[in-house]
Amino acid sequence: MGTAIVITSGKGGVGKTTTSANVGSALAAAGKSVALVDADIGLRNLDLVLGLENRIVYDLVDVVEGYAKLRQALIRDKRFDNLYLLPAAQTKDKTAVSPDQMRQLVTELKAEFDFVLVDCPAGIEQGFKNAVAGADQAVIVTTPEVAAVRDADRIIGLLEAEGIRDPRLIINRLRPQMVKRGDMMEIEDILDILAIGLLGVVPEDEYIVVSTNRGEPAALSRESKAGTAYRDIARRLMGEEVPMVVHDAQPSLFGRLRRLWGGV
Amino acid sequence: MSGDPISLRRGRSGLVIRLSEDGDFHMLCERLEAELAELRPGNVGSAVTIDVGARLLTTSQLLELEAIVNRYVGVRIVQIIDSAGTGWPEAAPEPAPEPAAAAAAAPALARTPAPEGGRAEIRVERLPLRRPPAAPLGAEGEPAQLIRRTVRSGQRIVSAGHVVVLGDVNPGAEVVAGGDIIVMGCLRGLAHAGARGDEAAVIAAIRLEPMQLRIAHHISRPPDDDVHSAPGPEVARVRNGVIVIESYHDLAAGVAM
Repeated sequence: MGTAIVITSGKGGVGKTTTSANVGSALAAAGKSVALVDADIGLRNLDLVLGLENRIVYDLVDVVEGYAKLRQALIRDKRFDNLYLLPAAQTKDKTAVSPDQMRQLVTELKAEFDFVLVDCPAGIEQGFKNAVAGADQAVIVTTPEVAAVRDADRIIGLLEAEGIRDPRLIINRLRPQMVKRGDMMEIEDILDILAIGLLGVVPEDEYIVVSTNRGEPAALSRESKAGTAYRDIARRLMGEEVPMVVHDAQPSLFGRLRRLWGGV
Repeated sequence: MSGDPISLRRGRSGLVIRLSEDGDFHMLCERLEAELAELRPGNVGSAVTIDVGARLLTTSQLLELEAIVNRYVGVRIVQIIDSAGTGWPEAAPEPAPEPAAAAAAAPALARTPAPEGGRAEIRVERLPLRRPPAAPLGAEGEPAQLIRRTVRSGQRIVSAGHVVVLGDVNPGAEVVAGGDIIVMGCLRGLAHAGARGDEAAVIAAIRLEPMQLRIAHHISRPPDDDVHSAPGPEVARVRNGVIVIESYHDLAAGVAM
């Protein structure tokens, strides 16, 4: 029996989908069987980030409505045989599915996979309620901005009401240089307000834009600092103790010199 | 009453908006908004007096009116009066308390919200809360509600007695109590003590960094440029008609009691 984890944030645009794709890929790369569920019905994106959009035949709503079997709707990733995507429907909306149906679906997936990651839509309405139904754990994504942190706080309260305890936090798009200058919220400030466990810190990394557009998760790139952070997060989800290091996307002076000299 | 929910006229000291006694509050807000939108070009800098007449308003309705007026650049509320005057024992409007006087009353006070200065400041001289101050509900020995968790954004705790929070009250959260509010953590959200009119109610927190404080019908918020947070526990209470914040240690030592 696997573990179902919902990836949520409240606020939009903080990187839920990117996180889902990268953590899922990193878990699969580490040998775990993973099902990614795109619960953002009507605004599906996760297939794009994984580069799988042209393989969709059936979607989540088709499965729930009985038009397709779960096995038929699951799309196998092009890089990993043990990574699957259950895409969202694009032509329906959030009301096409009920929390009970989602709970049943997630339970079925948990029987087959080590990890079921549910990519939650923004907001706190029906889409959120669907996405958290059936989840055993929650990962909250926030950026170092007051609005994102406020929404994360709201979500933690709502998760408590849904019976999901002890969610863990990913701080996304941190810019260590800005934090040093005092221009960005510090990790400690965010943890002080939210008071939940920290699962990882992902630095701002231009490579994410490139990888998202190409449909190749950054977690598979050794170069990308954000990718390294996502691999760390995946290891922590698997129960490993990984020291909390902020991988600075800004190359060090030494690194830049080395590049100037044409080194590695 | 069939006519307008509000009437608007230009007085000597600015605009006077008079609310009708009855009619739906929501409609009234819409109407006020429409009126202000039409006025806007010629009235930058206008002082607005809202005369609530004999209308009963709750604190949240009052805040809503304040928010609508604030939306219009250059227009500001200077005064809210109830001309019917039924619920007010005082015959004359109370003068706005001098910040200096308030500061003198509480030497330890670091953060008395100054009632004058910035354009956005609102001097509410008399609040139209018509409810007679009921017998204080949250007197000593009254039961308290214990909240053993952090109150998060969007959550609201309402209790007729005292409220004690073992945790933080985060921004976007609200705690409303008939009696006192004690936060054994950081109060960053909104707290309303003595919500049924008890001016003797206090709000205490280990760290007091509130969005807004309300005690009975008094409302205060930290000044916009306030980045300072006093270390250590503080207590907010009403003195001379304004909410003042005092160090808990001074209180405990009997300095400011």
